[in-house]
Amino acid sequence: MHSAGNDVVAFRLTDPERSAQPRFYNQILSPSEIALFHSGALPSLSFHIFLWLCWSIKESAYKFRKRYHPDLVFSPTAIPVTEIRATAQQITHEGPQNASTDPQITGTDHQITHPVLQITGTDHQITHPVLLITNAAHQITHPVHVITGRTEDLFFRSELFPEGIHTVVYRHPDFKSVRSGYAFLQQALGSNHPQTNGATEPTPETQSAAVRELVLLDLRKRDPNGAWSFGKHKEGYPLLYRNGVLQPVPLSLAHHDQLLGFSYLLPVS
Amino acid sequence: MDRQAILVELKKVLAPYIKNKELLDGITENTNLITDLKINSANLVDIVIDAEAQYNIEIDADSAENMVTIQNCIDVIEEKLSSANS
Repeated sequence: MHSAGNDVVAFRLTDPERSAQPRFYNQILSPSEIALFHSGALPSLSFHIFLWLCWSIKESAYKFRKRYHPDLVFSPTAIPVTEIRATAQQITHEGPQNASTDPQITGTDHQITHPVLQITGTDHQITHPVLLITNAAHQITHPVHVITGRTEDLFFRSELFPEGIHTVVYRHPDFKSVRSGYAFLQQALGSNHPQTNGATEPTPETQSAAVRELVLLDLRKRDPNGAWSFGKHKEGYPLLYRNGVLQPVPLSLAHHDQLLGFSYLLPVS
Repeated sequence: MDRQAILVELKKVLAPYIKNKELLDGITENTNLITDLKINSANLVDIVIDAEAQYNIEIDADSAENMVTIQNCIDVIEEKLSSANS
């Protein structure tokens, strides 16, 4: 099934003290995931970051499946993250915290060149961007009872950076058909916009417009002659039109605070 | 506590997570937390935890996943209040 799913989490709007409360994290993590954290698979991740990493994976997976199971209800503990492994690399650039840099986009014509793993331990001590590279080891498994009556494996790719997390989910471990990116509001709307310079909090309408602009920036780069526009399916997911014609391109949009994210499946060429 | 009284308290729980406070005035039982009130999904667990404190109840994960609309929220809170008092 063609689908797309992504999510962003802005650390600024998360609360490490609340994350540490069992009544909070038990709404998100299953016992097996808590055990996974304590197994030491990601020794440099704090519990707070781990919790929100898992949240972003689960939210992305939910969006991915919701497209073909419209009645699906988001239940974080029913989407177990079964394995997480980070690949450590040397930092190669400063990532998205510098708002003047280009949006971070990955896809067939962009190699992943970011960063990675320099996590220093405690909450909010991440000083460099982090990339958890996708491969077959990054597997999430949906429980059998949700909708289809059978297990479905999905795969994720998450990037962690000082301000937050961007996760993309796909049905194969090879993400070469998936175009995705993340950026700050400012990169999509410009630094003069009042909601990108901290003067006012961004409204959902502004965030929604900004993430669409981010996608348009990418589409225009790939297809300068196309007149791209957006619609909305009655089930809530975004639709993509080229020259007024609905495209068979699953698209997922996400925003949280100043962060924007997207993923879409590249058309078969 | 009747449904109207639950709703009054529920609005206090939701308010911190709604950027456009005018949306609070238009709440009905059919209102969806995410699509109508524009609450970010990342705040849904916060709302569950805050509701637990507001009504002095415990909401398990299975019940929490049903809290999609105002009606669903009131149903869950009403049930938990009833269980707590029985």
